[in-house]
Amino acid sequence: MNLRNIMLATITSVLTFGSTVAVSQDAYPDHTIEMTGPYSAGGGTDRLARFTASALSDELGVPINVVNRPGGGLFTGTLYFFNQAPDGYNIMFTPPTPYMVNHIENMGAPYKIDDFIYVNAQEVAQSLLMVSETSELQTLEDIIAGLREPGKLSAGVIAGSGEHISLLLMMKTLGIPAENLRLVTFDGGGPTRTALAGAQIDFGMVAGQGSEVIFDQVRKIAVFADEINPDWPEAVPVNEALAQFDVEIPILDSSVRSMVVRREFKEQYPERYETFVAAYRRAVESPEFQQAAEDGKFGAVWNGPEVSQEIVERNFNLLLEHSAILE
Amino acid sequence: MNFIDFPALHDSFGILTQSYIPWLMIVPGLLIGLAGGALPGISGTMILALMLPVTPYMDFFTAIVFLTSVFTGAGYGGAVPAILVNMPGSTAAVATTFDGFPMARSGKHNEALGLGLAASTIGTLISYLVLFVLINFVAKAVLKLGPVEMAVVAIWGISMIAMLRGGNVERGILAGVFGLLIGTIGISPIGRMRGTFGLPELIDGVAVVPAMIGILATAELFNLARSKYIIDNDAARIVSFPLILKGFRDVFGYWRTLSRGSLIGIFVGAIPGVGASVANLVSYAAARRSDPDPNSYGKGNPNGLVASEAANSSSEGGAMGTLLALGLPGGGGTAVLLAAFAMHNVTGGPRFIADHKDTVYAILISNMVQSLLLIVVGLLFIRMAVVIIKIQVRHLVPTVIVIAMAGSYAITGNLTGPITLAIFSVIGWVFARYDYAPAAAVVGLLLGRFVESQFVFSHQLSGGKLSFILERPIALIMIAIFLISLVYPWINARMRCRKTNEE
Repeated sequence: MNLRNIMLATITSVLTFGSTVAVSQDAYPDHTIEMTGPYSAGGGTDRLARFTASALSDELGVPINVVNRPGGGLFTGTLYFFNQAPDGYNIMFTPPTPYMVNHIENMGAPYKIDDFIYVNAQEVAQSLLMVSETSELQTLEDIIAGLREPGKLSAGVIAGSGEHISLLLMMKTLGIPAENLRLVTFDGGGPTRTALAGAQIDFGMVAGQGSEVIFDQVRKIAVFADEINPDWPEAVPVNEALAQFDVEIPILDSSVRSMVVRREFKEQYPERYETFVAAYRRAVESPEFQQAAEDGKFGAVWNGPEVSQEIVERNFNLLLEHSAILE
Repeated sequence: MNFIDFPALHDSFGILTQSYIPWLMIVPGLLIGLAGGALPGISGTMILALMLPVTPYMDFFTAIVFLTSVFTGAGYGGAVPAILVNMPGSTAAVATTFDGFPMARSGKHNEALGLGLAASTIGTLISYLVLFVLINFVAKAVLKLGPVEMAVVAIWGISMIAMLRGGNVERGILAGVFGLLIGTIGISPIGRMRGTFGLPELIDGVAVVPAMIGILATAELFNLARSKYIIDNDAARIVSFPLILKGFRDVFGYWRTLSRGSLIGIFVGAIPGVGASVANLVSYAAARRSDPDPNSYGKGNPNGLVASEAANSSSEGGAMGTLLALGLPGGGGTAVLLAAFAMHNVTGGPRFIADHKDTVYAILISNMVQSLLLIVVGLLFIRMAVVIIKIQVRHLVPTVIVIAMAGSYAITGNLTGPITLAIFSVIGWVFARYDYAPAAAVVGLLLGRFVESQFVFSHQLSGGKLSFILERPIALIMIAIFLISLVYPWINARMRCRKTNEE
């Protein structure tokens, strides 16, 4: 084939392709979708994202490419995603809370919380307060009594997490000075759980979902939720235990792992958006996905955009209101 | 508690011989790992994460055999570019460059690659053998280690700085301090921004791998640019499979370094959050310190190469032990393995070991087989890779720089990586030119952040009381060993000096 033929072929194919697009504007999606994961590969959210991507890809009929863009406490990847075209070929799977509060409040993020649509809060993790199985602390009352003695207890949380805020908030509400507690602010769930299992700290607070690995080595004391979680019936809802002190604290979720698209996607391509949401819903609700989620212990709840928006906003506002406590 | 549970061992052979499919996964797994490990910027973790979506289609044991093969291959892969072009394929191979590259330049490239492979495979094998016997004890031992102990391990690694001085002690230490300071850029362990100049790219600090490649590799490549080949001597520039094999056999002459390195690797690898990138440095430091001729290190002493490769490979076994015994990942690689466990509804941990001892043994045995197969696959791999020395430097340097740039881009996902690489290449070249040991800067950069975090955690845990350390017997023992190892060479030298005087 000579050069002229190649050029002709190229032009023809471009024209054909162009006309196909023109004829069927609604043929969304017709090529690979990129899913941004603003964290490094291999973690819990990444696993959930890859599973979801694979199921969603089957429903949509195009490949979904999960691209990890870690850094800056999920800021780097979220910022990248915000700058991609809102055409439905860029989606993100991320826990908007607690992370986006920090992006918006302290890092000068150009986006606001309602620049995104939280299509589905697929896994809402709850904070679980645990002690080592060798610990003498049996109940939340024991822990509170210990907290009243300066320097007696040590604890571990992930720095700046919902648990970090919840714990300090609980102490503040009970009138206990923060200095009473030797609080280690770890840099991730793994180190926190290791320290807890090894009784390096007296108690620890971390997402219960994902803590299954240490359940053999710990006792679950309290869950930061309104109701008992059927998976951990022994953990008492925190406000139930606090009732005897006549106080109550707001409930912050540990993290809200959610599918995220830009709001402009819905505004500019309403039909594509509907296609996307419907396919995502079918993927999550399919028996295979539900079974896989059951086996692999990952979140597969369909909350839908409206409820998810409420969950994210409630957590965001609570975090915003109380984050000053970290200072 | 028994060391080996024989009925379970017997059952494990049932798992191992059930199907031939898991065995078919080993060689492809090793090759993928080797290639990934050898390419700068493609870390073992990354390649494992890429392979993860394939594994739900396999049964549990096959999936684990496949992934651990990738892991094993990646453990050695990093050594190949470290030896041939002074470019560590991963942070685990930093100390491999110290003596590996000088060996290559002096024409011992065949032997160095063979020796590295031998240290790596035997290190892996030793670590799994140790694990095989001690798996019942690993969980308890690992959980005894808290932030204080981890801080001691990190300081141990940092003490390397004082050794990597090249010709000038003060400048070597200054270079190390420079690395430590660069390591403090970004969010501090207590959540304060430091030295980012408002650049979002620096929030997580300087990208370590591009900076490391810049300081060590590209700076060295600039220096090479004046030579025609990596190996100046025409007669030495040969590719010889018998010499690779000779290097492989030579490892038994360094059995002390080999076994010391392997034990250090197992120990350091088993500590959650530490791993191969610390293990190779600690092991190198230990080897150099106990050697009667420490000044031969950094100039192509095979002991340095053996120490590094034995430790970074055996730390894989250590990390695997923690994963199985505790269900907790020791590092990025084992985090992906944990995800694979979860996909098959398996969680590690004491209960898993108690209930599925046969599976655990089967995993350990398959890893030993992998390390033996790595000898064959690895020999073929280095036989191909070694032809790099035949390439003229004017072709090699730009090629390597392009690969390093692409790898840096892959790591950060944007131009931050390549820019970091470029800046640190210049810094590395200036350092090398004026005798500020570049390797010391890399050690500082690698460990600064880690030691600071552990130090802050220790401070928080102790409530600021120094007496807290007296409640930590393991930390005290570790500090004592560390101090003895520091003063031992000095006392030894004094004694020898006195002896000569008396004579």
